[in-house]
Amino acid sequence: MDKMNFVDTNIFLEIILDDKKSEQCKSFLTKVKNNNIKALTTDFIIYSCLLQIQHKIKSQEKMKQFLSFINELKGLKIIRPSLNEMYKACIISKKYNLDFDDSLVVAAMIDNNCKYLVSLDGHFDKISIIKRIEPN
Amino acid sequence: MVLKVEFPKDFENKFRELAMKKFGYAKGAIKKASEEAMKEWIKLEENNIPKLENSIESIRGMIKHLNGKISSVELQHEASKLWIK
Repeated sequence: MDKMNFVDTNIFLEIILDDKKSEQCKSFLTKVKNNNIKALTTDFIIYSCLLQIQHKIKSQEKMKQFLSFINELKGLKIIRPSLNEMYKACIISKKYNLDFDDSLVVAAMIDNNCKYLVSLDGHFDKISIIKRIEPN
Repeated sequence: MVLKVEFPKDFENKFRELAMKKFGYAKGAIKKASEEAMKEWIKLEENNIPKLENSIESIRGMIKHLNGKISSVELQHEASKLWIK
């Protein structure tokens, strides 16, 4: 994984949940933290994680901890999708029958010349213009 | 203060074109666009978020009580519904 990788929401949530693949996700994000891997994500993805922390445990302290964690991922660039990318996401959503949030990931990847999506979500496997990979 | 920076030609042309489209085909458009872009960059880069010891471990298992009840992918899609609420 030496090229630019786009990080999907579930990679962060897998660690928060401490589920079966959290160790692999942790190992991947440790490389991002140490700037050994360059990665991209969107602010929408960060908001989604924060919303889930708020919804599930209602703790502003934990939300702040999550933001401190994100802030320390030196190799991670957080992008704010443009109106143009949101417009493209609507087109992708219809074309591939994807939810808007997944379509926004694809649109942001295309506009940022990012081919690899690090995700545990198999929905993306039908999108031939990107390549989904799991952290290992 | 004058900043001198060199960019690839295509990038510079695109920047000039969009700056003039937004601020008019007059002197000062490039300055205004540069200022706007730099202010945005400074805002993104500058923060006072405190550092954590072992930040990855600090978030691990925050919602562990849901482990086995819902997957991270399901949580992700559930988050989209929270946006709508």
